[in-house]
Amino acid sequence: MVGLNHFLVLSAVLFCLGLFGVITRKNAITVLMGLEMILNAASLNFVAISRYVTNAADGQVVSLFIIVLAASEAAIALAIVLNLYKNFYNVNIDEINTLKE
Amino acid sequence: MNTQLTIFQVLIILLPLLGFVVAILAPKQMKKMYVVEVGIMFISLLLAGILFFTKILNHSEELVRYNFTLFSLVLNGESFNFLVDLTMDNMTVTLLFMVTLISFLVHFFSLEYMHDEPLKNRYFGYLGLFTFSMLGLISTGSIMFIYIFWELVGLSSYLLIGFWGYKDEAASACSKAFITNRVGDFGFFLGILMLFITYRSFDLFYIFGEVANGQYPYGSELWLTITGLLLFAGAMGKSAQFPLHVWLPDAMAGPTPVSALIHAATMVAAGVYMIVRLFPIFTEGAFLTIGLIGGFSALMAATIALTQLDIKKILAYSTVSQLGLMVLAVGVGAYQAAIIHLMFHAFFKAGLFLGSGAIIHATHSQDIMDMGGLRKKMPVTFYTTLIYSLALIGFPLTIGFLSKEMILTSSLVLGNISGNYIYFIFVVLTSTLTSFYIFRYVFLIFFGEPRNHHAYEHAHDFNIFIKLPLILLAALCFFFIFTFNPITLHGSYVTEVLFRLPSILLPQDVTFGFLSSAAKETIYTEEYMHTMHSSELAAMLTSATIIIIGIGTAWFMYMKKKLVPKVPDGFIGKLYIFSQKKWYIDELLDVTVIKGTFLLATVMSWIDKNIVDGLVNLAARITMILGRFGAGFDKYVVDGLVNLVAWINGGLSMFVRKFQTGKVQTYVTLAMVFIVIFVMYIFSN
Amino acid sequence: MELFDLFFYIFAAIIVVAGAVTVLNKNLIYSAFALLILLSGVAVMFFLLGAEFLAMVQILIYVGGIMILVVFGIMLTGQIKSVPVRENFLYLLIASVVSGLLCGLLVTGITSRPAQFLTSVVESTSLRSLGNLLIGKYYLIFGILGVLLLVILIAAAGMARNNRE
Repeated sequence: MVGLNHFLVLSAVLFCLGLFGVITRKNAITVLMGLEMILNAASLNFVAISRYVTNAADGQVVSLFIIVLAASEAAIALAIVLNLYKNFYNVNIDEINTLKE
Repeated sequence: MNTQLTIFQVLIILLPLLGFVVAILAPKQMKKMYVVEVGIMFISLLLAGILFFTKILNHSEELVRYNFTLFSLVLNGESFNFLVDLTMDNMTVTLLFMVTLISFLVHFFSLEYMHDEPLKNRYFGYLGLFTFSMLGLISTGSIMFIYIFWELVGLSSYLLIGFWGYKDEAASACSKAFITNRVGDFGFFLGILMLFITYRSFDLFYIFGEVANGQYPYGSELWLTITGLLLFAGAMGKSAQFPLHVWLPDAMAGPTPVSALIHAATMVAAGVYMIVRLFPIFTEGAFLTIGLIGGFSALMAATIALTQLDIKKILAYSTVSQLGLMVLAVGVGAYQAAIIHLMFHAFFKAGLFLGSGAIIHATHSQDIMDMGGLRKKMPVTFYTTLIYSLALIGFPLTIGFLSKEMILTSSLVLGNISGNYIYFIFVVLTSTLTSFYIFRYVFLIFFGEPRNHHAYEHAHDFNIFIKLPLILLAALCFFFIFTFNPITLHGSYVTEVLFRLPSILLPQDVTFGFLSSAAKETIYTEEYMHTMHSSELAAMLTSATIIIIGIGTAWFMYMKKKLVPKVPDGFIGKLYIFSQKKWYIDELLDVTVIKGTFLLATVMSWIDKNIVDGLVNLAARITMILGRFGAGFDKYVVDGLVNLVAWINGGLSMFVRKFQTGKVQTYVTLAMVFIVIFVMYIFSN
Repeated sequence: MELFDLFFYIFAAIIVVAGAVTVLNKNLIYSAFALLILLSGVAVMFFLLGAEFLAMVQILIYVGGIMILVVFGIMLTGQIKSVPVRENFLYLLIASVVSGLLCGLLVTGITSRPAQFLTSVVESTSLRSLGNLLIGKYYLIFGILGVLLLVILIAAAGMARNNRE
C-alpha cells in the first residue's frame, strides 16, 4: 500500500539528488538543472501532503506558485549565463572567478 | 671645697686648649696672637701653683673625684655608663704644677728661640694643644680617658716634631714617632680591653679594688700578668724603651724647645706615669719583664750616647737611658723612686735641652765637632749646663743624687732579698756610662780649643728669654727645695705626702719579695724595709765610686789628652762604630718590619688586583654570557613564540581562506553540512 | 498490489534514475533530456495524486518552457560534447556524504512517523476549488507573482539583448 511516506521519501531522494547535482556540477546550466530538481521535489512534497492530510487544494496552489517562480528564475539564470558566456567564453563556474580576488 | 678644687683642675686643663684654639684660629694679620697663648699658659701655671699649695697644705689626705656620665649603653642586659672622670690626688697636683711650669718655661724660651720663625702662631698653638693633652692625661682616673689623652699627646708630638715639615728628616721623623707609638698603643688598647672585659669598668680605683679582692681576668694570675704586660707595651712606646725607642733620637729633628718639653720632661714621662698609676695591677712576672726591659734599654742607650756627635742625639739617648732607669725602678717595686726621678729628671733634662738650644742658636750647628771652648763666650749656658750635668749623674747636693740614690738602693735591696743582682748591675753600669758621656758632652763643648772658629766668633749668651728658664731650672736642681736632708728623701714630704699609693690597693695574697699588704704604713714587707736601711750605705758608696770613675775618665780623655772624637783602631774601633750606628737597630727594623710590611702590602695589592678584580671581571664575564643567553632566548624563544603565533594564525587563515572559494556551490555544501549536523543533533535528542 | 502502487513504483523508479542521470552524466544533452523525463515523471506523480491541472501546467511550463530554455542555453553556450565534471575526489566524497546523510536523515525522519493511507478513494480535486483558492485565499501571492513575472520579463529581455549599440 502506498502511503504518504512513500511520496515523501521519493521527494526526499529527489531533493538529495538535486542537492548533489548543485554541489557537484561545474557547468552553470547543469547547476540550474539540479536546482530544478530540488524545486520539483519541494512541489511534489506539497501536493502529496495536501492530498493525504487535508482534503483541500492548498498544496497544489503552492506548487503552482513554485512552478511560476522556477520559470522566472530559470529565465533570469539563463540570461545571466548567456551574458557570462559572452564575457568569458566559458560557462565553467570554476573559472569565472574574477570577482573573487 | 672639693668642687672648687675640681673647678681649678678643669680650668688648668682647659686653658691651654683655649690657647691652642686662639692661636690656631688667629687670622693671618694678627701675627702677635701667640703672645696671648703664652699669657694663657702663665695663668694656667699660676692656677696650678695655687691648686698645688691648696691641696697639699689643706687636703693632702683626700682623693678628690668628680665624674659625670657622657652616655650610657645597655650591654647584655646590664646598663653601662661611660663616665668622664676627673681625679685629683697629691701626685696629680704635683705633676700638674710641674708640667705647667716646664711648659711655661719652654714657651718663654721659644719667644726668643723661634723669633725668626714665620709660623709662630701655629707653633704656640701646638704647644698649647700638647700641654692640654698632657694635663688631661694626668688628671683622670679612667683608663679610657688616659688612653684618649695618650693619643692626643701622640698627635701633638707628631705635629710638633714635624713642625718644620719641609725638611725631609722632620717629615719622616714625625711619622716614625707616631707609628712606633701606635705599635705600643695597640698593646695598650688590648690591655684596656682585657680590663674592661673582666671588670666591666674603666675606673682604675674600682679595678684596683677588684684586683685586691682577688678578681683576676679569667681567674688566673697569668692573664693578669699578660694584661699588665700589654699595658706596659703602651708605656714602652711612649717612654721609648727597647725596642720601641727608635723614634726618640729621630724626633730631634723638631725645634729644640719642643725636644725640651716633650722628649725630656713630659710626653716620655707619660709612660712612666702610667705604669706607676697602674702599679697595683702588676704581678711578679710583669715586674720581672718591666725591670729587665727597663734595665736593658738604660744600658743600651747609654752605650750609644758614648759616641754620638750630634749634641741633641747625645741628650736624646740620655733620656732613653734615664727612662729605662725609671722603668727599672718600677720593676723592682720602687714606684716612688720612679716617679720622683721622673719629676727631677724633667727639671735637669729640660734644662740640658734648653741649654743645647742656646748653643745651637749661637753656633748654628748641632755637630759637636763645631764646638769647643765655648765656656768663655757663653758663661750662663756653661754654668747652668754644668749644674744639670751634675744633677744627671747624681752628684751630692743635687736632686739627681736623691732620686738616683733611691733607685740604686732599691735595686740593691731587691738583689739582697732575692739574690738577683741583675738590676743592680744594670743601674751601676748605666750610671757609670752616664757620668762619662755627659762630661764628654761638657768637656767637648765648653773646654778645649774651638774647632770651628766661625761659629766660635758668633757665639754669645742671649737675652732674658733664654737666660731665665736656664737659671730657674738650675735653681730647681738643688736639694733644699725638696727636703732638708741632703742625703736621702726618707721622711721628706716628697715621699710621704706627694707620691704615695694607699695600701688598700694591693692584692691580698701577694708577696713579691717586697710587696705585702699586711703592713700598715707602707706596702712593703718588713724584710724589705730592713734591707733598705742596711743597703743605703752600700748604695751611697757605690754611687760615689761611679761618679769619680766617670768624671775622671772623661777628664782624662778629653782634658788631659785632649782627644777629639774619632774612630779608634782595632777592636775598640768596631765597638765604637757599633755604638755610633745605634746598634744597627734602625737598619734591623727596616729590613724586617718595614720591608715585611711593604711585602705584605705588595701581596695584598696583588691579591686585590688579580683576585678581587679577577672576581669582578669574572662576574662581568658571567653577566655578559648570561646576557648573550638572554639575548638568544629573546631572539629565538620569545620572538619564536611570536612568530609561532603569527605562523599559526597564517596557517589558520590560509586554511580558512580556502572556504572563501567564491563559489556558491561550496557555500551550499557547507550549509548542507551544518544542516545535516543540526538535524542529527535534533534526532539524537 | 493495486494499480496505484504499481504506477507509483514504476514512475518513482523512472524519476530516480532520470535524476541520477541528470546529475551524473557528462553529456549535457543527456542530462537535459534526463531532466525532461524526470519532469514528466513528476507530472505523472501529480496525476496519481489527483492534481490533473497541476500536472498539465507542469508539463506545459516546465517541460515546454523551461526545458526549451535550458536546451537553448546549452546550444548557445556551446559545450555539448563533454562537460567537465568535477574530478576532485575529496569534494565528490564530501558531497556524496552530505547528500547521502541528508537523504538518510530525511528518510529516517519520514519513516518514523506512522504511515498514512488514503481513507477513501477521493475523487480528484476540482479545478473550481483551485481557482477559488487562487483568487480567494492566496490572492496576494497571486498578484505579486504577476508583478514578478512582469519584472522578470523586462529584466530578462534587457539582459539578453545586445549591448553594442
